[in-house]
Amino acid sequence: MAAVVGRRICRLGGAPCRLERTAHSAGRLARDGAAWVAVFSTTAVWLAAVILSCSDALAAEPLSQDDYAVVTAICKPGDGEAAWASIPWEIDLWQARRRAAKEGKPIVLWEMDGHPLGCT
Amino acid sequence: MAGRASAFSDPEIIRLASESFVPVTGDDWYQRRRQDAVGEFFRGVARQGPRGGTDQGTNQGIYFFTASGKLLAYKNAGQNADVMRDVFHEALAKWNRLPADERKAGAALVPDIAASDLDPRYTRGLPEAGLVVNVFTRALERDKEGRLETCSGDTSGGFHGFQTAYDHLWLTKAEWQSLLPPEPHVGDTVPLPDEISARIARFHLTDNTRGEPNMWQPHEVLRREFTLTVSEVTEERVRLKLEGSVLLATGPDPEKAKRGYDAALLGTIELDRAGGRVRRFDLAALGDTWGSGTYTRGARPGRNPLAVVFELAEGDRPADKVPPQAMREPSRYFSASR
Repeated sequence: MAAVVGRRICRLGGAPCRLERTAHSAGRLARDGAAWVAVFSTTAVWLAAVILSCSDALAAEPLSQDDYAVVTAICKPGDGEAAWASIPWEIDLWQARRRAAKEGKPIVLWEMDGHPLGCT
Repeated sequence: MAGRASAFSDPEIIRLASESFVPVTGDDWYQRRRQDAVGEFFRGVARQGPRGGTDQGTNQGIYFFTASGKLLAYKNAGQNADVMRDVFHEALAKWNRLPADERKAGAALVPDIAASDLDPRYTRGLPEAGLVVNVFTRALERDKEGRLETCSGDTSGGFHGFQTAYDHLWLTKAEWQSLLPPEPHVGDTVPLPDEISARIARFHLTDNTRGEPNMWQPHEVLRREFTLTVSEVTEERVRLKLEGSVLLATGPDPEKAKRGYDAALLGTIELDRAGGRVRRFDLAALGDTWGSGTYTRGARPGRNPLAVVFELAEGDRPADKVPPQAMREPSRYFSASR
């Protein structure tokens, strides 16, 4: 069960998601010492419910406006994480070559598989 | 991309690159292949270094050279700022040892190139009046209370993709204009145009935090639901709330799929009613990602949170003109829904 619960996206505030609460309820029923048949029936119903909810379980929880604000804030680069972007990079080698000739400077080319200013 | 956080974040390297050199970036996938003067020039520089300058394999690295094409120094990557600083100084020393006549402004003659002389197979440009949206992707983790936080180098257990990754979403003029409902009323709900939602799902909800990502194939899009709801209408503008949900996986059964992303999306798009421009394109996706790609080995075990944030580009920086990663195949990029 834990693995299934772990695939859910819990709300950013840390509140348990729906599937996690369902699992806890089932666990309490078993611990109450009900007859084996009753436990089996309960478990079967519970398992069926889990299976039926699996497709739903693979749908991430909708985002709230608060979630949106938090996600946006922590996803984008923070202070000091984008110092490399302060370099006045050209993105056109020929243009850089013309500029270097005009200004009498050498060129530094950062060439990667996947553009250094995009891609990864 | 390690060089961002190490070498090119070093204050002295930033100063040297900005003041003593002309700094330029390139995607080797295009540059080593292009059959035009630009490609010939680059391969000529690369042939003087260890990569060999062929179009058969990667020539990536950090090159220092003159406008006439003389290689001064080379380093394969910029992971170590101390090493890279030395290479910058070595290159500058070699430059300064060149005859003054070679170094002076105007010494090298670099002709202009007509756009028609560029190899069209490896030249990309934003469609006229197209829209550029910055895309940021970041691997996240949960603290003990279940709150999301960024991964850190200390807590990532050797996982190296904890920095923000970058890409750009391009929309044609016709596409972004199609976002504006003809007669908008608050509460109206319309689907996001199919091509736009398919492009976002297939090419921009990817885990590119550890390198070049695999794009999602059409059959790997198991769920793609996007809805626009008109939330505000004034004489000048229309504001739309964008909600969505995707399930992307390399197999039909996401339980067994080796790689996937299961995410919810929320955002706001704001347009001028006159159709003149998009004022806002704010969108966030949050969900669990799992699995490694062809060039993105080293994924964290299990399923872990990944965020993708979209935000309108300012549009006037050279970086904003870098094509989307998936634009290596433009016909596919602009027909994502087919």
